[in-house]
Amino acid sequence: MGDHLLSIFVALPFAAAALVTLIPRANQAAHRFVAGTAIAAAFAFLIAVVFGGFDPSHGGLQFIESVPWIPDFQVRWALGMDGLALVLLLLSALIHFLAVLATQKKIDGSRGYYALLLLLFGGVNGVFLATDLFLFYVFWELMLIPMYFLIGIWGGEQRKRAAGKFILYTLFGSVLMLVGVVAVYLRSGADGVLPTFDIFALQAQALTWAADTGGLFGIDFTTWIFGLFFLAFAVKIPVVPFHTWLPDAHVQASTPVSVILAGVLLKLGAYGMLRIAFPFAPDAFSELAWMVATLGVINVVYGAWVALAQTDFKRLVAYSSVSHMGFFLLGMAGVAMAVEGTAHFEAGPRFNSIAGASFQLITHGVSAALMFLLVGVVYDRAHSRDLNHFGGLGRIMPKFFFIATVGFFSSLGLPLLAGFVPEALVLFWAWPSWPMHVAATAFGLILTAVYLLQAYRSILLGPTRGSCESYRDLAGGELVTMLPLVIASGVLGVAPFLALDLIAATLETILSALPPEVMP
Amino acid sequence: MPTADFFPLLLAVPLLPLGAWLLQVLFGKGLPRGGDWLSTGAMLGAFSITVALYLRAYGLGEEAEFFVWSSESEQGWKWLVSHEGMNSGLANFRAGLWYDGLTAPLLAMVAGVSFLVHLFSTGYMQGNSRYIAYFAGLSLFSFAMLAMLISDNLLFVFMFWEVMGLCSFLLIGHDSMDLKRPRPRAAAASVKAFLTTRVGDVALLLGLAIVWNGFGTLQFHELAVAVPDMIERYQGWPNWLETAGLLIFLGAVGKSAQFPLHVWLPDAMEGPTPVSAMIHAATMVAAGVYLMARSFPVLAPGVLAVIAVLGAFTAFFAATIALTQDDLKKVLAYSTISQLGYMISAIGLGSPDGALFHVFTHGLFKAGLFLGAGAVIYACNHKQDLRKLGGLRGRMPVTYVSMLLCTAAISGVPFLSGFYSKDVILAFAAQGWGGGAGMVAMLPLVLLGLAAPLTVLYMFRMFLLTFSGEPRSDHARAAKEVPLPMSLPLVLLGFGALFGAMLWFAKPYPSNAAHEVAVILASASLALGLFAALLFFQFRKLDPSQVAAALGPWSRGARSLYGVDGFLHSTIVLPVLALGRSASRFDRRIVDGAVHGIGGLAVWVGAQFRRLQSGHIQRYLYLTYAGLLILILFALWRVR
Repeated sequence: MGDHLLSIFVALPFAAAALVTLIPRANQAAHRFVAGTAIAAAFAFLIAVVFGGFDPSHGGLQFIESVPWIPDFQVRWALGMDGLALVLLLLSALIHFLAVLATQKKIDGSRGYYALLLLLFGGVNGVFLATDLFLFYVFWELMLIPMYFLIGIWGGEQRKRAAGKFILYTLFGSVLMLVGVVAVYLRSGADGVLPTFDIFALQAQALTWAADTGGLFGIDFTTWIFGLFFLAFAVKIPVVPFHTWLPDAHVQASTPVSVILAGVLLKLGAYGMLRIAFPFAPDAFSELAWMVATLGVINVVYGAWVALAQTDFKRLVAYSSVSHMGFFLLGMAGVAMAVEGTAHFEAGPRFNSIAGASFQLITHGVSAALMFLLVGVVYDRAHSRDLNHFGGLGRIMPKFFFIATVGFFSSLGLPLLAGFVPEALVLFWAWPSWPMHVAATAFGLILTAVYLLQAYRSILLGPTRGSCESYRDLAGGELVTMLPLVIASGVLGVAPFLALDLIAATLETILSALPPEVMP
Repeated sequence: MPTADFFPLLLAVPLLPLGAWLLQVLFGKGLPRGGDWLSTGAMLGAFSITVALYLRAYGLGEEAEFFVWSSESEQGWKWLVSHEGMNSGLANFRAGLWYDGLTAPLLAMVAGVSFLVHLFSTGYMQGNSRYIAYFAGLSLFSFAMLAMLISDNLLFVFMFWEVMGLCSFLLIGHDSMDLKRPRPRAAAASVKAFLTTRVGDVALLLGLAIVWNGFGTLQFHELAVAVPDMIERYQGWPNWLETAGLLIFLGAVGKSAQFPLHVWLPDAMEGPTPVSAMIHAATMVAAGVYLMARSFPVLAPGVLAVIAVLGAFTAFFAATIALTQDDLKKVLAYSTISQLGYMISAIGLGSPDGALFHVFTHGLFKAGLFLGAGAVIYACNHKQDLRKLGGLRGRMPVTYVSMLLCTAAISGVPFLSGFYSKDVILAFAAQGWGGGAGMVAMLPLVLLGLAAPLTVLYMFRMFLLTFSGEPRSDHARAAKEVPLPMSLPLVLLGFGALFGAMLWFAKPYPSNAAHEVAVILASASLALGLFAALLFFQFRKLDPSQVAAALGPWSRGARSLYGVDGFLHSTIVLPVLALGRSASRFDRRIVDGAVHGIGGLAVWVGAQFRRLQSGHIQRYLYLTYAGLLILILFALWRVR
């Protein structure tokens, strides 16, 4: 059994989903219980891994499994866990569990809902753990389908349209990824060896591809690979201008689905960038890093600027996600350029920059999930998300006031809360490579404060509006759903090493895969 | 030398108010009186510790750095990575503690003033609809400032500085949600305060990024060593270091309310008055000066010149506005801006010690002034218009004496605390003038010298209009002295205004000649200002409105705050918001529109293949996969 830990872990949600479908339709409490228990068990497993078998000083894969799956094409059922995957799995399990808690007790078609939620959870786990590119692709597709139905069936009035947009964008990305997958597979066999789907074997091989002269339309092979994977993952992050599915999807999705979408799914795109797009084509990445950095700045500033004009609370938070994910791109680009004139620590800046990018995935997961839960509370009381309909909730809802303050200011990047850590890391250490980009991003930080405080003020401050007088403060269940995120935000802000210790060695391994001349 | 028992004591200073905050947030409702005794008691505890530390520090003499729990040592809080050997790359931030001859009196002053503000608030805020939230905010505010003062590196200074921004935001906006007397404008004021300072904060963060990338450290001591090395290597100040200095200074411009980012501070008067005392005396605005004093080693000469002139200009500029204000608290607000100008200018003139000395004395008497104003406002049923006050001397004798001492101290009456600290700054300004570096070197002395008599005039105007003459409203007539929890802080702060300067370790004068110039200047200013104030507002020999009319546009300009608010609003705020609306329209019509256009094209193409178009997403999916499968097979075939 010890040899198949990860397989069991990946299979667990699928088994739970099957179990849910066997429970009678009317027994909603049982559906909820099974889903919640399965995810809680997964979370407990991960905690046990952190304190048990996981070795944070080892940067490579742990708990490796690999058995042939489709031998004709060298496809293997290969799983493995490293620090980055572990931290993101923890985040995913926490967010999925809170999403179950945030779901109303009575919901139409609860059997399908919880089964899909579990499928989604299982697919996400698979993406984080797959070390075979084909398997990665399968899990990637597997998790997108449940999301489509979760938006399209349990969403708002225009849910069909939003779900359609979501799936079209997603297919666009998937097609590009599939082409990329096939291309690297074929390329790996071109030198007379057996082709492979193994992600790490491909990474090792990728260093030799840079010498390839041939290509299509005058663009060399590695640039093609980088471009295909970058675009495929860019849709999911999302990178401007491929972002317009996100606000629509968020506005139509129900609160728990939004929480998962912002808290977990956006991170998958970023994970793919770190795992695949950039290590598969390090040279092309180095050459195109200016573009990645520029897109990052555009995400930060443009997202914030558009958020500024939103009157729908949920749309505003959706655009804030676009803005915050820009930090990831900028941090990733910070790895790329040769650093001159900083003799003090050659390896420092680029390492810290990518550490900031990775940390942003965690903190954004926490604070965006919290923000969408706050939106959910407001919508539950008012059946409106129009920011002009509120005022003075601070006095009548003191508990909500406290949690909202943590959520808003964590999102804003206040020190001692989680949001500050990646912003500081990226600004400090992307600086040597991209000073002008960093300066422009800093301007985005001011805009972030503007749109967040505008929303904060119109919801919480001022005299209480007559129509809001009857709103009740957070109930126990709502409090239980939000407090873990509040605590996580505080803990990660005060002691970021708790998460960084886990991912540091992994990031070093990723960086060391760079070709020597790109290495610091 | 450092002794081990210092560590827990020093650490307890910020942790006590933090603990009080936590308990209030968790259990505030269940505690008697909402737990105000808890936070007040915690502050008393913190204050006692700072006094004990101060006495020990005093006993150790005037060594500049006698106690540093450095972040280099093993004991620092390793913020980013907990075990060092794990990877070589991650440059770590460690937080250490720092306590030296400048920290000792400042820490005690901040803790003491915070305690008195807490005590005063137990009376002033009685019956407030959000009493618990108020005290929780006050505790967190004190925590952040105390923690900032004992941090040993600029990054942690920045972190606690931002937390202070949050606390001031919450406290300024506190009354906007009040049940009985909601102040809608307080909400706008709190947002304005946070955003205005945020502009400076972001610049500061960039400045710190540059400094870090240049030196690999943000620790005070390490910077003080590294910067001279760097200058030797570059044969001068490199451009990037000058840029960093300016960016750091921008942070202080925001936080310490220097022109043109001073606009948030007068609006912040919407907050409860004890909060104003907190912001103006002990915490927020002092942080900017403290930051500049600690980052002094990285400030290039050119940057120092900018700082000296801008500070001196702010001192003069705000003093002229203070003369024209009719709101008791607004006069004090502009007086704070003006005094902060003195401190900032002192940094630029090369005397960070002098700047912090003034922070120290100013903290004592400005807290006294604001709490005194709070007492007046409390006694006069929340009236704070100077035209409606008057004649409170006999009605509120304790407040009267305390305010008189504080007013005299800020005016620079000899042998009171403010005299000594302002004297140091003027002496440094005079020295710069003596250096003979032309017009620019003279500017600080001229501007600060002009501001000095104006300070006396506007302070005594405020004081006389409040306390002398006959009451000018029923509320003032009915005023009574405030109860003990409120009057006790006034008495103690009155003593502070009297003797505060003695508590500062070393008084840093530049030279005797400059010192003499300063004393002469200060005395002349005092005589002139006091004479004019008595003539105008005590004996009423001159009518201020006639003088104002004679000054014409200048007086009108000062009254309208020189239009800075309006200018910033129309040139920055409105365009930013308008661009936001354009960006939103662009996003909806162009970016999303293009997507829909492509989508529409796809549908049209689909319509050409009628039989395939079923409208089912699943069908599309299958088709996509079928197509891809064909592609793959084709590719595989080609490879073979």
